[in-house]
Amino acid sequence: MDCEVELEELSEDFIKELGNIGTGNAVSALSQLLNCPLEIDTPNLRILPFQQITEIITEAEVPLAGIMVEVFGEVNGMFLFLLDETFTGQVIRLVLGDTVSDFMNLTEMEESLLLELGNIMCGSYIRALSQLMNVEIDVSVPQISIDMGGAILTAATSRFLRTSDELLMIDNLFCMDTDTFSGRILFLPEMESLHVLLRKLEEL
Amino acid sequence: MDKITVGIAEGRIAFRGQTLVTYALGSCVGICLYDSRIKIAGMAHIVLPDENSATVKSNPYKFAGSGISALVMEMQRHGADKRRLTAKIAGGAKMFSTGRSAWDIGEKNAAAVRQALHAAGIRILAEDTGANYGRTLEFCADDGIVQVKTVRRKTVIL
Amino acid sequence: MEKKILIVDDAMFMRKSIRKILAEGGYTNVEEARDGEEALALFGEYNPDLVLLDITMPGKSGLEVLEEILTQDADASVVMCSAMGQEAVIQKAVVMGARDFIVKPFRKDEFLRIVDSCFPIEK
Repeated sequence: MDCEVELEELSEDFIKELGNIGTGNAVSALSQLLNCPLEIDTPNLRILPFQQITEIITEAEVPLAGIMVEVFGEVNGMFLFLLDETFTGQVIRLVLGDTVSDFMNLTEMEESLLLELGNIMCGSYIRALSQLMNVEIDVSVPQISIDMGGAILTAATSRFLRTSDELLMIDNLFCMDTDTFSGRILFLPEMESLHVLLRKLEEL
Repeated sequence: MDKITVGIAEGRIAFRGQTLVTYALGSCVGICLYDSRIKIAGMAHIVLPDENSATVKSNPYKFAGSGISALVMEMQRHGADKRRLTAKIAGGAKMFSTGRSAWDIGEKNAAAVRQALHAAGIRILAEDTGANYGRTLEFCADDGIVQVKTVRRKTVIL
Repeated sequence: MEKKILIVDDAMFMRKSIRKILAEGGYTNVEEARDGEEALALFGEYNPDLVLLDITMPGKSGLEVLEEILTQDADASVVMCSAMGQEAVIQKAVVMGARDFIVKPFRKDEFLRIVDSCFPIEK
């Protein structure tokens, strides 16, 4: 099924707004936890051929921390929170007060923090969506992987390749200080779920 | 050395003086086929184990079986002899440790690749699959050597 | 007598954070459980005055654990904690017998207010 065609039927603005609201909530939750202001960039609604997924990060081999939460119920999909080494260090320093000695080998406490952040951010994102759209959505326990960013992305999204050659994602970058983009959240809903949301929208 | 990149769900071939590279294999599997007599190398980066429950099947390199067939055909078109082909494979990791079986896709990919190679009569000389980390492969057409690079470990030579 | 509180959450970070907040509120008799199984075992042994129960956990979900705790002790005080906080889930928990519900991320003062409210007036 061609994503582009599907999207013409759905409202692109509507999906962007979902991204806006979801991200607003997620980042606000994160900001509260870090006790530090964060700025959100406008959400990017992307339809990418699966083969280009790693192009959203600078290089496929650079290690990233990826926290993944599956979303299911009336809306199915996946939520991914990606942090690079620098941002991970900042987050851990802000919350735990310690300096990460080895990004590739975080302590149990440090990993647990990231997992919980992912859990809370996804929860906030989904809560916003479900309240707005009056849909029942549930989330899985969060999972973490710290390794090549490309490997994390493809592993998290390969299941979508069964039903489409393209990925639909709402991509949102946010930052701690003005220049550098610190982290990003990706929300990948299954195409069918977008139809559900649109129907709900029409019912509102 | 000329480097040829093999992207996700792609298959490419290389000749003497060239190296095939594919980056950051997670649950995907990289299949390296070699005809040592005439020094033709072929690499495929597959994503899914089989076409079951897939509704979009146009690209053969998405799947283990069709990917291997397509790669073999491509190599034969350039003079490779299927009977001489040998294989080395890597990838198929479980990046996220969740208990749900839907996430065993890496393992399923590796199993499907082994099965398809076996069915095609192609011997697997070496493999570096499973575990929970990403791998980058470099496959040299001059000697058929495959280097598996990771973030945490020393490079493995297959 | 000092109140006993049982924290149930699969995230070590969360358990430690809550423990710290509780200590600031004067609650130092605290036990932790990583999942539903541990929680149920500890509930019987430790006999807490209050259980702080996460909803999203591997294995038994928070709601399942809530049900089992209330089967063991219908008067148990359980406060659900979740990053989700959906209407439907909150309602379900309350109908099942949960005392209260708090959504993550929570503010320290709000969290302590809810904990304090579970222990009427003796202070």
